[in-house]
Amino acid sequence: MLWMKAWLETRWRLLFALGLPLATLVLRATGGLTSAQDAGRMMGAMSFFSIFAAVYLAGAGVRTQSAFQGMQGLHGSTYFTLSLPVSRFRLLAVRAGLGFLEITGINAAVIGAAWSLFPLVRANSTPFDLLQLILAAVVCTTCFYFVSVVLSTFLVEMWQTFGSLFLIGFAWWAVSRLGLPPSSNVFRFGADASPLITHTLPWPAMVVSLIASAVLLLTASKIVQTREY
Amino acid sequence: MSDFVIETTGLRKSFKGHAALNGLDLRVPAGSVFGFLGRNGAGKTTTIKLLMGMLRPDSGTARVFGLPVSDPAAAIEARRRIGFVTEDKELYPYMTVDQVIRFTRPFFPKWRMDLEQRYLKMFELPLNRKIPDLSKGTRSKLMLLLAVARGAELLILDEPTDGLDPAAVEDVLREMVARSASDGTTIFFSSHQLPEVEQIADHVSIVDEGRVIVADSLDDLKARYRRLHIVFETEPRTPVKWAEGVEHLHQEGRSVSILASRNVEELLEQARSIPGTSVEQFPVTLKEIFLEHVRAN
Repeated sequence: MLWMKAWLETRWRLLFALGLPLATLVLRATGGLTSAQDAGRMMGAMSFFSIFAAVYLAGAGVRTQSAFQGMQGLHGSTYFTLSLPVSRFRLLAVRAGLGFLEITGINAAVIGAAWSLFPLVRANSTPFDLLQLILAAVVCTTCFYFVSVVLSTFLVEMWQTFGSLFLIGFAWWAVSRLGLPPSSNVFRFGADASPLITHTLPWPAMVVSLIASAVLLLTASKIVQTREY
Repeated sequence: MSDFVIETTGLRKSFKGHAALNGLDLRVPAGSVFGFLGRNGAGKTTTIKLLMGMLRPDSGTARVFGLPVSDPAAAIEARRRIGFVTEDKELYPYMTVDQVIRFTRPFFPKWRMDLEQRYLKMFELPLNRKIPDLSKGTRSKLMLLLAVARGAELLILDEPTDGLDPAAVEDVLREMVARSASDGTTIFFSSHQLPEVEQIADHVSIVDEGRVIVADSLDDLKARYRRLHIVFETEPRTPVKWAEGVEHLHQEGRSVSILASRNVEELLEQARSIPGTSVEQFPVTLKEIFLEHVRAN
């Protein structure tokens, strides 16, 4: 039943986070892509949408989430949730789990659509490369997702979204100055580290993302369990 | 197993340096209908949140069914046996009445379908209507259904009749008493509506500034408390030194009004022993007891 609650809470967000990149792809498809640079730029934009979806669909954990973007503080129904005989970790885990599944679906749909619609995107790549790109996108955006999950445990929704985008933007700026190889950079999965180009998974970036995600999930869990509502 | 479903000892809780609970001692007997009274900000909702395991005390202990609810695992076990109505009666805005019932049901293995159906009919709850489209009164009724149908041994109700019309208040109060009488459910409820408390509670506790200042069975309380109206022949030149038991005294000229919490007979005798004095005693309402205590505190 917590899954049903999480689904009802996020379905409009999912529609928005899925509809926006798909609409962009369809509009772009009417003009077509004329060069490899065009295709690269478009896949870069799709990476941005993946990260945005990760932030926007991040689990509220214990809190009741609004349909689109809550501007107010804690909704009173949170106390109803807390009156249930369920641990806070389970509340967090279910909500985060559903958000993660939704992000997986969005990445699969958007990347799959781009690959199908544009011959330049799928040029020199195989369906296996497409699957690798989807996997890389899901795993690399997981750390961004959990940044937002952590912030959701103590910030209202508006600040959670802006705070996450700020932190991710800062991380992008910092990482770009480290001079890491593309395969180690969690922001490059849709660009020069894309399996459509390299025909291999960006393993170092994926490992970094998974480790960061685990740390962030533990942090979120600790906060939720100790925080007083 | 203790005879008390709820027991707190020396419970303290502060928020940003402000003490919400200041050594709260509370004992709620099993099977009682327990009215928990206090002014706004007296500490009622903080107490309730502590009992539900939503907050942790700074010091002191809180036990529900003998379980220490500051321990998360014990609190989950306690919540399985508690029906709860929140202060603001807010439920998920994206659910319909039917969805919120179907959502809540599986968490409680002892869910009472008979009570669910009974309350749906009695309160005329619209199954397909979304929560934000319900009036506060209807949300209160729905929350009561969700609390009672859990098959709970303890109902913790924060202002359960808030927002209800007088007819619905009567229905709700009657049901609360019926649950206690038929299932032995303990009902712990906070309210500002003192006549309602007086109507159904068998025990009351008055909390003020985070401490319990009065706690007793309502019958004992009302038996102990008396208002004495004393009229002297002439205004006393020096104040009378009354026997113990005077909670509050108000004098205007020759007339004195005393709220006594004990020693009523001794006070009566003392008053009658003053020549030319007429004395009358009256039973007091819970409202009078409440007001005198919180004002004095």
